Amino acid sequence: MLEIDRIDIAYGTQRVVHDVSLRLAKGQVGCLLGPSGSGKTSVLRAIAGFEPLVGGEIRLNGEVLSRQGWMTAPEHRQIGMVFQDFALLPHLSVAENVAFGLHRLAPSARAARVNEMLAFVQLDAARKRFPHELSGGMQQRVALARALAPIPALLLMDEPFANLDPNLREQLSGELRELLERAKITALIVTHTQNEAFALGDVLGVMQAGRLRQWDTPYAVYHEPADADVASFIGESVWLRGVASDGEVRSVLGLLRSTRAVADGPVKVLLRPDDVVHDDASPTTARVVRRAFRGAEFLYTLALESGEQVLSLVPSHHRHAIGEAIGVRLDVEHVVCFASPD
Amino acid sequence: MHRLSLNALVALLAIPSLIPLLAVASGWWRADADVLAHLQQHVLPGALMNSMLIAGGVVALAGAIGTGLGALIGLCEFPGRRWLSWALVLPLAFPGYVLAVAWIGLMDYTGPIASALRDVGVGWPEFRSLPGVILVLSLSLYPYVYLIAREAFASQGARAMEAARALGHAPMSALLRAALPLARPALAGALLLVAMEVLADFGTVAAFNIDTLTVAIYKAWYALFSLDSALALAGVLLLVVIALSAIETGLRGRKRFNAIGSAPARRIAVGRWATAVCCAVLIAALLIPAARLGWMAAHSDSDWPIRFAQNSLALGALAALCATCAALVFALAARYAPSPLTRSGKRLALIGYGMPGALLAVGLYVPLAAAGQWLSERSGVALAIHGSVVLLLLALMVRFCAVALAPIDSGLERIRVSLIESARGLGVGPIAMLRRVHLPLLRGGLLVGLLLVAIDVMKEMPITLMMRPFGWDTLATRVFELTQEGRWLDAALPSLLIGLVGVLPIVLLERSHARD
Repeated sequence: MLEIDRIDIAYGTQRVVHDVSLRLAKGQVGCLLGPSGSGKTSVLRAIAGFEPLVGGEIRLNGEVLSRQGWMTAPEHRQIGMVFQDFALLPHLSVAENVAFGLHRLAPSARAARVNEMLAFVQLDAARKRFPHELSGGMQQRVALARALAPIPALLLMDEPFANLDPNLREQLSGELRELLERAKITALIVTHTQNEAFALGDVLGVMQAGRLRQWDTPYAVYHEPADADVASFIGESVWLRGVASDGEVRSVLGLLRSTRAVADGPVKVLLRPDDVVHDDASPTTARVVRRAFRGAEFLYTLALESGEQVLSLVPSHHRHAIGEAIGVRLDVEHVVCFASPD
Repeated sequence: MHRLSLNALVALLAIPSLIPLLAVASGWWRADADVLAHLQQHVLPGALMNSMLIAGGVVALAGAIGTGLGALIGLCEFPGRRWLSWALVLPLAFPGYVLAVAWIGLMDYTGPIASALRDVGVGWPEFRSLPGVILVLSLSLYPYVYLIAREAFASQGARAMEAARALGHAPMSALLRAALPLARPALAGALLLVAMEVLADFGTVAAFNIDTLTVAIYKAWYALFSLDSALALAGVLLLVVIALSAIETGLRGRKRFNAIGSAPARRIAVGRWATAVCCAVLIAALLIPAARLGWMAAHSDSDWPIRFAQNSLALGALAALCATCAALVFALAARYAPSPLTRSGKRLALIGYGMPGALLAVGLYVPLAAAGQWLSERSGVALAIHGSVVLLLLALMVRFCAVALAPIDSGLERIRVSLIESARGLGVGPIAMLRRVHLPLLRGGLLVGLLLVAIDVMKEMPITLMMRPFGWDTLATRVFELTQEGRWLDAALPSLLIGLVGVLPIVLLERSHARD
């Protein structure tokens, strides 16, 4: 389906994307996650045909779309794009916007397709309205219907929720996931919000400083991050010092068996807040430094005897005062550690 | 007290804008039947037709040039795009009549091209014709369209192009179906402005010796000494101007055009042909005229027009002061004493800017001269109304107040209400507020306003020509007199000076554009 091989993108002399490769199978939804300026939107625009490549190759269904010094024009790629600001044409009604990419169809076929798409995104009632008369969520659905109407081989979405009310994002990301599944479309979505990426993506890529650090399922990216930067970027994490020998890691919280091969020597162990469990029976204790109430649970910041701090998620009926010492133990399914020279 | 005095000031300053409107509107039924019949048969058909044809032709040609260049610079990438982006604005420095002096000097029967062709026995069409004047006016007015088109295409057109291309439209189709419709209201505004400028133009058509409404007004006034005919003709011009504004307002519907996002988009790479197109316009509108004027000035044996330049500067400075003060009053009143009266003050300033100079001169002079005569008869004191500098300044103030209003208004928008309230809380009274808060904060806007008005006044021709004190010439009126006498070579130097002065606001404008 979509094959991206070692692409490089530059603005003038400044290289913004280095050596990015990824694959997307038919029907899959991929998410590119990364902080702003990490190059993820440039990758998306290169796939759409708006940015030339200075190296590498982009193929869709085996056909080369872009390579250095050569690119298929955007209008010949059969790739739909939903822009961050939706880019609805303000002088056209909702129905006219959806029909905008159907100029090669006969009028009757065009009208039928517009009706079909408006029904699909449940906007039949708004067909005569203009973009500025719609809510942000409705505008997004119009943009989606418009991009899907010409039946593209691939759909690209740039920050689909950046222009929407934060309170609605979770609900809308669920709706979007459902729409994408019903459309059976292959899609690549760029976002900087981890929860959206988790909710939408079958595959997830983390981009940092122009490089794709990992391209894997969301579960794997969270539990088995490829490197320390990805681990820190995805989810809350703290690092615990340890010493590895023969795949076993010794730390102040006990002996752990590393999931992956690790060289002997000093290492840092990734701990998620749900890896540290409160257990009164545990011989190891830690002192409460900070406590954040999150409704169903408390997020405790705990200081260990070694002076290191860890995070722990504890059901909120366990209420402990700051300064109190509580028993903790580790409950880690995937022990991820990286060599730490210092 | 504060509110009351502001309202009174606005009312006082609004009177000079209202007088010409009322006078011109009443011109039709005041005029003598014989005069009207003469006008209808002999003057009006030709003058009206010429005005409309020239306006239509220039709107089409300047619209095409300006929109095309705006799309190239705003949407495309090609060698030289950056410097061409600002260089293409430069022809705005030359008022139409300056360009006319240069192009007529080059293309006329006695000019080098026609002479050379005649020597080899080839005929040459008369350049002083409708197509000639349309070409010259288009070359001087296209930057209005270009400036607005460039902005519209660069700000939202590029994004619309990308959206359209992602939906399968080729670049040309994307331009016609997405970017151009989005730019349409902005372009309509620009074309209206161009049409207004053409209708108001006097100097260019006079140099081309073509009778339009403005020339007819001038001739009725100077050659026939018929104030009634001048007023009646001005009435026709007013109707045309009002009709144009009404069309533009009516074109806006329920659609909104500024809603699309403006995230950065990449410009489309095109070849060197785009550079060539831009350069060709620049050569025709700027380089050839400047070079020709320089050559003509060097071959003229007239002296440096120092006295006329001094007069131009003095008039520009005085009129700028009047117009800027009036604009400041209008702006402050509309902001701090909002009422139907103060709001209409700003509207009247804009209407004054829309009134062609010839119309304004006649409309202001006729009633004030009548009032002056009535007063002299009653009081026995001789009041010299004609050729009074006061009247000239009044007319220039009405015409150019809006030019100063824009920068002052935008400066005023940046002064937040909380700032004024906090100053009040600290015990600052209304007069001290003006001195200690507004004037320091508005200084930039006021200076820009002063400069823009001064330069516009120096380039202005019909008002100065019709209302100046007898025998007192500026550079602009000097150009008119010399061209009427056929002394093209001698007209070149004052024309060149006017063009040089006109470069100043453009550099200012483009620098602030680059900073944004």
